Amino acid sequence: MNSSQLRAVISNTGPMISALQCDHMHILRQFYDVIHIPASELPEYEKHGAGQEIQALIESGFIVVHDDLTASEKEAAQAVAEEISISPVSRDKEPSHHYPEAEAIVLMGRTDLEAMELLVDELAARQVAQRQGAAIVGFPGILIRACKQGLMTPEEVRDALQECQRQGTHYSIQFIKEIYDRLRRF
Amino acid sequence: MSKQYAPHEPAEEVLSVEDAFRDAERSEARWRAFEQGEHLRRVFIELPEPAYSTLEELARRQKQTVPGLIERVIGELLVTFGPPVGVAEG
Repeated sequence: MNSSQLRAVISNTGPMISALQCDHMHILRQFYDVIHIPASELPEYEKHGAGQEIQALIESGFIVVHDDLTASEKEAAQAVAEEISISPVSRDKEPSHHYPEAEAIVLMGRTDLEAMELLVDELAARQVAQRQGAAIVGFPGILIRACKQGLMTPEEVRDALQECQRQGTHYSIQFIKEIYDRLRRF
Repeated sequence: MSKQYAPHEPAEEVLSVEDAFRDAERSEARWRAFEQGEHLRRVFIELPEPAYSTLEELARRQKQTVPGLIERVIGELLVTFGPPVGVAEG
C-alpha cells in the first residue's frame, strides 16, 4: 500500500474515547490506516484516563499528532471554537473548551493530509464542521457501517454503545434501541 | 472489568439516529469512491481466533493495519506464485 492509498482521517476526542470505552478500536483499525489529531487533544485524552492507550497508538503509527498549526490556522481555530460555543445546541459556552475540536476541523483543510472524513459526535461541532465543508462521521455511524459490512452483529453494536453509555457517553437508551432495531431489520 | 474512561463532553448533545445512519451511508460511499479511484477491490476474509489476534499483534509490531499487512502478504504471494500478467491458460 503506497502513501497515496492510505485511508486517512482526522478525529476529535469523542469518537476515540468511545472506541476505547467499548474496546472497539480494532474497528477503527479495520477502516483506517492513519488517524490525524491535533496536539491540543492530548491533554483531553490524559484527562479521560486514556493517555497511555493513545500514546501506544501514536507509537504504532496509527495516530499522528500535529503540533505545527500555523498562526493563521490557529486564528481560524479560535474562530471555529467561538462559533461552536455560540451554537444554540452547544451547552458549554466557553470557546477555549472547544478549541481542540476546532483545531481538528481546521486540519481538515490541509490537503496534504488527504483526510477523507472527520470523526466527530458532538452536535455543535458537527454542524460547524459541515458548514466548513468537512465530511463527517460519528462513532455510531462507524459501528453501523461495520455492521452493514458484516464486521459486527446488531447485538454487538448495541452492546458497544451501551458500554459507552455505561461509562457516561451521551448516547441515550432510545438512541441505542432505535439503532439496534433498524440494524436488525436491515 | 475492563478499563474505564471518562466520557468526552457528556453534557453536549450528540448526533441523532438519522444522523448516525446518514453518516454510515455517506462514509461508505466516500470509501467506495476512494477504492475505485485507487483501483482497489475489497475482499472480505473471515479468520478464526487466535489467528486474527495473532495477525493484529503482528501488524501492530510492524506499525501496520491488519488490512495493510494482509494486502502486503497477498501482494508478495502473487509476485512469487502468480502467473505472468497476460499469459493465457493453455
